[in-house]
Amino acid sequence: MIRIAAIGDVHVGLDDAGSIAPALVDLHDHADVLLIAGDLTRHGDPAEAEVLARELADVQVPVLVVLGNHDHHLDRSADIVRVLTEAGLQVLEGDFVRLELAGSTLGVVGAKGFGGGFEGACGSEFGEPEMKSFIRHTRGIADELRELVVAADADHVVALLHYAPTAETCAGERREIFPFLGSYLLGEAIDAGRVELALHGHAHHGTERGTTTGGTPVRNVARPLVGVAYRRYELGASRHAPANDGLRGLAPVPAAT
Amino acid sequence: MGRLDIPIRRTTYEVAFKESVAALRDAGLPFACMGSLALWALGGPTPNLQQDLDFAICEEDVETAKSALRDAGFAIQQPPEDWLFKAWSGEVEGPDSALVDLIHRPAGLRITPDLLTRCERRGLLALDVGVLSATDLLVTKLHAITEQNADYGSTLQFARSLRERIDWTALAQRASTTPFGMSFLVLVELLGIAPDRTLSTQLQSDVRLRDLLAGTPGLQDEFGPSPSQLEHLAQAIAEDERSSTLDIHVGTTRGRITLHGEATNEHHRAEVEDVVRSLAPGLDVDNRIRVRDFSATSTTAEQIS
Ligand SMILES: [Fe+2]
Ligand SMILES: [Fe+2]
Repeated sequence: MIRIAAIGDVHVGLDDAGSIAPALVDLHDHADVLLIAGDLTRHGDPAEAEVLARELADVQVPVLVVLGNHDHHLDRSADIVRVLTEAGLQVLEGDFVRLELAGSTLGVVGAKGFGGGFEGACGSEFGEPEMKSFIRHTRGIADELRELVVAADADHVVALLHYAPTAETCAGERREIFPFLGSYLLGEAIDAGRVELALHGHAHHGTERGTTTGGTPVRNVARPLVGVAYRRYELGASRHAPANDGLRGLAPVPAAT
Repeated sequence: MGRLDIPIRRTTYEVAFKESVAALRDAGLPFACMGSLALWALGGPTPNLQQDLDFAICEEDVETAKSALRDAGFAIQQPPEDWLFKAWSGEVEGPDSALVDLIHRPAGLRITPDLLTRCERRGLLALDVGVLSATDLLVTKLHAITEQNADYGSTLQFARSLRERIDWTALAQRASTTPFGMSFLVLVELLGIAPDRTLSTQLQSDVRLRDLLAGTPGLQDEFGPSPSQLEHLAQAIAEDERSSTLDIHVGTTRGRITLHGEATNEHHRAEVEDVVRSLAPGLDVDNRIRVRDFSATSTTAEQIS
């Protein structure tokens, strides 16, 4: 069984030292890995990433992150990646990472993702160069994600995004901004392989649980939404419980708090 | 102008009207019709004259008026209210008596000899009498509204039927001194009874009314930030490094900028407010952003597979 801790949208600012670390002191008792779904910083300042790195310095499990839109704001994402990597975090930007954890392997496919909208209300690669490049950015990421998902070789595969792969977990946000919250193309890419769980953030006022069009469980772990330091998920716990086999996404779930 | 149609005690009231007018006129007192009879004289709704006849007189003429009416056969009654006295055509509160109210200090209006002599003259029951202006009448009607009797029906009906005769600018100044008057001004504006926008333009100087109207769709452009101005503000907040977060909602309540949303610490909360104050100097800012703590952890794990 693999135990995952996940959170998104921590939006660390320069004055947030001490706001995260205390809640993580016993993380290793509950989780084998910590995944952070982007918007690590308030406005993409590498100094903010340094604050986050210090907050995570004592975490005893692997920490994998993707960047969010806020981490790109100052056009210094490369510096942020460097700061976080030097601190021992793994930053996934269209990457696949396989971890040996608790006797089985966890594959994490990670990308920021982007917007564009969901079924029935999408932007398209048409018209002005700005519009075309908007949608092209999403398609590029989705294509990359699809390849990684198809090739992912691990006992369990999780997708880590910042943007939403389904409208279901955006529900609660105003409909008008859905095209800026995610894209169904990300969901399609996830469904191309055997991803067991897709995690994302960005939709602070969305809904925690949903599925992709293909039925993959999706969890929105944006911190303003979940309201806690991190959420916990378990993969493979029901491997020997036949009643749940083949019912991906429908396994009985204890109420999360 | 046709005769009043008074189905009950017509004669009593007609006689009481004619006799009281004659008594006041013969005593040389300035006076004017008010109340529902005056509204009707100006072209307003047909009055229900079962209740009383109303005349405005000057405060210094009260005693003279009392003796003039007493001499004309009226029974004088001084009720506890100190702004009027009553004259009965028969015995006081008698079932067949018509009642005339002589009002020297109506709410919202100061009766002066000058005001009374300047009144428009109208023919009422074949007598030539002064009638208070539509604006004055409406002001007194509005001042009579209370919490226990907050019925706007008759005032709105009056305002609609006499809209051309009302000095809306003057009314706006005089009616906005009470909550009920202010509400009435909002109603006539939104119902389209008052002339297009002149009322709200005039009332911009009234801070309380501006606040009251600030949340009214279609009026924001005159009384507070417009939706597009608010959106500019929201964009600027989202783009400012001190406040760049998706979780601040900018709104307006009663002419003030309201900030809702979440911050992770007090410093961040104050920074957002600083940004707004620098972007919209001079506007009141109501900072309702709450500081939220995310240090709790989930006690149970969700079993995905
Ligand atoms: Fe975010
Ligand atoms: Fe975001």
